[in-house]
Amino acid sequence: MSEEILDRQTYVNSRSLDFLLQELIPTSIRVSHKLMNSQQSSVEEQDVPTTIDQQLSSIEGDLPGTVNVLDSSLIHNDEVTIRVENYGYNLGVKIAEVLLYRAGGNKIVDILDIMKFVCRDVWKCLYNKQMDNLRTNHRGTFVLVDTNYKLISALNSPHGMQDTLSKAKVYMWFPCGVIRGILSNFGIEANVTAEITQFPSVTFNIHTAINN
Amino acid sequence: MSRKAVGDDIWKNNVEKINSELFTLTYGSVVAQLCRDFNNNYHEVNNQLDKMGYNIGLRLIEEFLAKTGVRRCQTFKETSEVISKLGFKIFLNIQPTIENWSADGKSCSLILPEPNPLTEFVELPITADDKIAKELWYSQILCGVLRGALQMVQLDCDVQFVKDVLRGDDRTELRLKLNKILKDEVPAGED
Repeated sequence: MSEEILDRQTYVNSRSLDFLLQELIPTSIRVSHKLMNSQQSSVEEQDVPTTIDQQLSSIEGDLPGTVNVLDSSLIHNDEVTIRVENYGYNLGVKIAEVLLYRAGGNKIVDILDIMKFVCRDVWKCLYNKQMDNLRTNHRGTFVLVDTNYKLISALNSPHGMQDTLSKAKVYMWFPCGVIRGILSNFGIEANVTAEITQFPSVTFNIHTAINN
Repeated sequence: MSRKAVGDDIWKNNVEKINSELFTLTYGSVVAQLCRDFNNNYHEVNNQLDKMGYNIGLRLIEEFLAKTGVRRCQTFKETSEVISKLGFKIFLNIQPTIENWSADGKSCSLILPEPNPLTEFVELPITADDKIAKELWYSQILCGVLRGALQMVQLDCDVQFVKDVLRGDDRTELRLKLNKILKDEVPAGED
């Protein structure tokens, strides 16, 4: 029975996932804002349907359809980045096994195979493309490069590249979390960070304690 | 071509697709984390999901209109058809059935088929009290999306869940109600 479920493949529009992922950061900021100010702002006791002229949070100018929430000083606060990373981590832990089952043929023997799995299968599943480059120093550090990272490629701030980069940075915690989640499912503790080398090209640095 | 055929055709030939369980799991992570963050205050969770959805709806309508090239609907019945046969089909690959029209033709129910990509493999945790089953609308994001998207085509609507299979109901039912048709406003600076 479970095999049948895994073998059956259903699809949704990839844009649906993009839309959802794009909303993760504003939502994380709103949640953090609400929790940090929980003494003042009352917690809702009923469902309130969103309308066009309703503040989405008590952050200034946070109206539907605007991106003002990203101007909140909270954007680089640990509260927010940890939350975003956590979304990714939970997803990574969950998809690792499904993807491994699907990848089938490729045998995974050592950590390099696991990294290849991330580059190939995981990225293909998430972004319909593979990582563009994979390097390692053979002492447990890996560098993965995606030259056109989809989640941030459409971001463009009216205040110029500097501002785009600064806001794109918080989005990067999501894929970092995904990679960390997948590695942790293989029993590997890792430290994953990302830097935007040349927008929208992204470099992931993965540090593990394993000597390969 | 019928609406259904148009929707099927766009889905088949003009949509980049991804595994639905990836989408299911991502959404599941969001809901679960919100529940933890708000310490199981499910009203707050519903509201946050609604806000996410509303923002998505505001943006999604543009893509929807570009992909379908659909013209202004003459009746709300036509609108509901477009939502089901084109909207849901193109983005989630499901086609909810529409029934239960009110006498004035202004409100109807959308019945989501099972399994739907938001809730596949999902079960609400069994707890001593049934608070979660009474208060959480797991797929609330859809209400926000519909309300937001309809707002952008000048339709002021109420959208809410009335039944959810996850809560133990016999089916998942969304209620759609047209409040009023907003006047077209000319953007500032244009005559």
